[in-house]
Amino acid sequence: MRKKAKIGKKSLWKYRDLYLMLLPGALYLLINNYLPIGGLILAFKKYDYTKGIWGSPWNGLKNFKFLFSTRDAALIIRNTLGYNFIFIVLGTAFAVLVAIILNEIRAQLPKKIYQVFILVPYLISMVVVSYIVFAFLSTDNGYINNVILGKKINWYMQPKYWPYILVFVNLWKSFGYNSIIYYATVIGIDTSLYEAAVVDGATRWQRIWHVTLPGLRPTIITMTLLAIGRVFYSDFGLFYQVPMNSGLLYDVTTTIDVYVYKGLILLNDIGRSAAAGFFQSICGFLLVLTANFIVSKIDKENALF
Amino acid sequence: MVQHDRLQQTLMHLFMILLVLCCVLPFLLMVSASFTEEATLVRDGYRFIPKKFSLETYTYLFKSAKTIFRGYGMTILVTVLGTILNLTLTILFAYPLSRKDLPYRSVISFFLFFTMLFNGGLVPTYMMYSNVFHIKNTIWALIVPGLMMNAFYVIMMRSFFTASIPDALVEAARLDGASEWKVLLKVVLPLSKPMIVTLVLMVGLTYWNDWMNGLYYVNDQSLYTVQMILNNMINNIQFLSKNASLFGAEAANLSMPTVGIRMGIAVIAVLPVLVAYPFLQKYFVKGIVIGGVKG
Amino acid sequence: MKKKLAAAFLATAMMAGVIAAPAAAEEMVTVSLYIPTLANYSEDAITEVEAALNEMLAEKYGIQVDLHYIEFGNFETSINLAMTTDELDVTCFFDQDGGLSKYVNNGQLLDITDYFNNASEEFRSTFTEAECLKSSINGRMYSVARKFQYGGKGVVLMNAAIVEELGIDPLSVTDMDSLGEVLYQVHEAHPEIYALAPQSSADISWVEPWDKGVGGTIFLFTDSVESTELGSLFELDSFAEFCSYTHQWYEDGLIMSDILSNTMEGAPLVNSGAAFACFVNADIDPANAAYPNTVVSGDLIAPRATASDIGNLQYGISANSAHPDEAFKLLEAIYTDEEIVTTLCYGIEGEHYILNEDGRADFPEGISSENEPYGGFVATAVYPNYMLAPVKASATVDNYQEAVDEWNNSLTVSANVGFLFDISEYTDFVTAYTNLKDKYYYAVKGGTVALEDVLPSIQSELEAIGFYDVLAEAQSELDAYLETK
Repeated sequence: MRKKAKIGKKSLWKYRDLYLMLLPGALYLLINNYLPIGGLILAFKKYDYTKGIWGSPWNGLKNFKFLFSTRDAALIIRNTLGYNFIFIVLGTAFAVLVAIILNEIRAQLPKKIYQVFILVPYLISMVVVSYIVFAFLSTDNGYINNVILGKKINWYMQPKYWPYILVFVNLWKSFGYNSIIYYATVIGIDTSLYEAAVVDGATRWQRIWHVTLPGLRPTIITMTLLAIGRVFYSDFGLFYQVPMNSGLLYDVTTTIDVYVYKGLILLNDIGRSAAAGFFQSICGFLLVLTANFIVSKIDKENALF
Repeated sequence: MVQHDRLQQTLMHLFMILLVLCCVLPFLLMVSASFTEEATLVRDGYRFIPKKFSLETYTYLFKSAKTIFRGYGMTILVTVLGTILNLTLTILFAYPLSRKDLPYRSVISFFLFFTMLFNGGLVPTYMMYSNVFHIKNTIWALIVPGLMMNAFYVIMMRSFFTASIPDALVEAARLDGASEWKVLLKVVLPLSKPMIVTLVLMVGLTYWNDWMNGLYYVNDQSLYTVQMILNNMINNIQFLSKNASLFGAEAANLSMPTVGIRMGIAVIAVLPVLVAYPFLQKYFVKGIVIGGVKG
Repeated sequence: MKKKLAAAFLATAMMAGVIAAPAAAEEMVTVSLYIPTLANYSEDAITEVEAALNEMLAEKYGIQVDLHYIEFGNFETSINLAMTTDELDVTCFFDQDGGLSKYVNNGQLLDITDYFNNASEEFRSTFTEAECLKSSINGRMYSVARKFQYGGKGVVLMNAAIVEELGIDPLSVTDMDSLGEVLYQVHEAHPEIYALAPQSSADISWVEPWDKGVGGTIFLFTDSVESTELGSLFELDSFAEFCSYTHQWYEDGLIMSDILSNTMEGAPLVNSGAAFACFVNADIDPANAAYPNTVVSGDLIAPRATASDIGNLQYGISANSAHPDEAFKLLEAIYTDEEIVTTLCYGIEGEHYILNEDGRADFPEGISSENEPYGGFVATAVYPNYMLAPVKASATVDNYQEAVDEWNNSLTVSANVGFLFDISEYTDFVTAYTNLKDKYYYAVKGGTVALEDVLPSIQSELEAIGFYDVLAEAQSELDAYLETK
């Protein structure tokens, strides 16, 4: 804030090229993201197709009621937040581990091969993942029951297994991608730091601890902050398609998105869909602001803004 | 010491090999399912080596080869074009943001970050693109909405610039009289290869896997991408299973693609990426030239 | 059209093969028509049919049509979006689970009462009273029903080879008891296959003894199509009876154990021998027409139409249409003009279908349902009035119109048809109910859990979302409605 007062027209002119670079992206964001943002008011309206966004009658906070009024509310919020926090913690830890190992492995060819194959799960769409999971878990035909266990477990009818299955599937699908992001950061770390460490006689673990991890810190913080912003959202495919929408698993698989989808697709209720989205955004936004504030107190460099 | 190191290397390789198996085996089960005779699949279950080998799936898919090949063409076109546009916008936006001396930097960062959390929702976005920009049933519908620039990628790029491009280097170039454009092109970009390749990969994958824009903005078959074909099929199956009574007894005549065929299409959709990825990766590894420039 | 071209121009520069839409005649209004695709349509075939239709329309009605075929799995999403703008004029839509009242409540459909009353006698007389009722809310008409046979009957499809092997008389299967006997017999002889596969995905059967969709809702049911006493699905006697069979069968291993996570259709499984039997719905044509290795049982459920069966597909005009007059003209034409109906349904004669010497429509040489470029000839059920088109060679009847009339007159129609329950004040309730129903419905119906085990928790959840209050309200409205009727 103090700085801003000092910025004169002249110094802004000095940065004209940089601002020019920003222009195309800013225009795109303005059009793609900011122009339709007026649509957020739909969350407070009873949308009428004939009257349009602005002409539709106001509806107060009525659109939000369904997210809180039923006894499902606590359940779906618990599921959404619970899974997301596990995903963030386990996902980050595992991806960082893999990135570090990739970096430590010296043989170039295997390293390349590993990088190709750990990305395979990311490439497969969730619907297809759901078929693959089914191929493993199907009661009569599944690979696990048939070949590994040799007994019949009705996986799709037993809620107790599903928190683990969902966490596993999520980790399986996303770790490759995240590892690559972290790995790209690791290989970007100034090698002279490593050389200095070697000169100092540091062991592998010391190098990892004192050079690699601090080098990864900005990326980890950024990725985590971004993930925090989305903790009220959930991957619809993971929670709806992978459990094959089996009703008996409902208690451990229904998240906000699944609930909204099932309940609102039928009604084509644009106002309440908007309300659910608004609620998810605003909660995520507040969480990120808080987290970012804490980060900026500790480590100003790595705050998002 | 050396022995110790070798042991560590071996352990790490073992770990990675296990991981790779974890990733690849399910995929192989899918491939195997696509080569298994349908009745065998239902009767004897899923196996890594088909009990009864059959090319049924692929002969079926070959019949619609024209559609699938055109879908491929479309997917590749959209992916290439989209990735180029996305990367251009992303780099141009990220670089100024990485400059700590840029006035209003945090305001602009916020302007960017805000878009990650809030959007107007489907309906207003659709109305704008359909009514104002008329991109429905054009190739732009598959490229522009929601994909051409993503705050996440910009932030990653910016972090990379901040972390890996020494300020001194930029300042030195500026003192030599280079314009900002020249600094970006001649100094910053060559040092950013690893990140650029990573982003090419990620953005490319997003385009490759996208079917949302197609769902909302495209119903012209000549614009279908492979993912759209796959997704339409799945949507049809899901819809039909709930609503087939709408079509009376005729619904029984609509043969939905069997599990084998669904797996076959999924295999076809993933394969090119698996083939292309190692080539991209070459650059990915070559990009490690960053060291030694610390001023 | 012009805009589409302009936008496409840029794309054309980079890619070969973008088809340019033909420019419409300047002075005539172009009306868009949205139809879900049930089979494959090639882009070329659509363009040709559109051109042929436009020639006829220009001459007879002075309008042009812009045909939009949309994958039926995406259809509702697409039309809902298209209806936010003026790009959609006439559209098909699904009136299940309160479809019509949803569209009307959201202000998506044009009130066509006045148009309808001033329309030609031929058009008005196309629709039966029951169909008009299903297209109206509070006496105002918002759409017209697709002309189709009402409802259906419940039969079981069985694998022919096993039937023969075990000497089963398919026609002896006429109820759940006799079906059970056969299933146990088959299970003993062939434990390696499913004795009973679900009809589709997780649903064991689409044709049930109870009446569903009462009031145009997803939550009102009666015990049978004759009954007018509303209840919760889970507390109906007929539901309890049905589920007691399926649960016993499930426990005894007769039903596919993966039913809840199944994504396959039953009939192909039966046809291929992976399963012995599955429930199917049938109407005029034999239920096994497309499955040569199967035989059909007797009727388990006699021909009947539930409250949601009649007019479950409708054609209406978007409230945002820029040309409602022309849109209605098109609507009339696609219901009454034989030439236009035939072209829309079957495509172009000689290319997409041919007329045999006996006047029946057939596939041209070298074309079958597998490679037919114009899918309408394969799956005609989505079109407004297929009865005006020539009878297909594969049909078992000689005249569609007569056969459908005969069918419609012979079956039992739900006593609750025409009653509409306004859910606009109950949207939160519907959301909660949908999630509740999803949780238990398929699991109980498919027999994976015993109804009596979960009924107490279902009832307490129904109580918690206020179901019984809504039920009482609906019952009093239904009673009042039946009195006026």
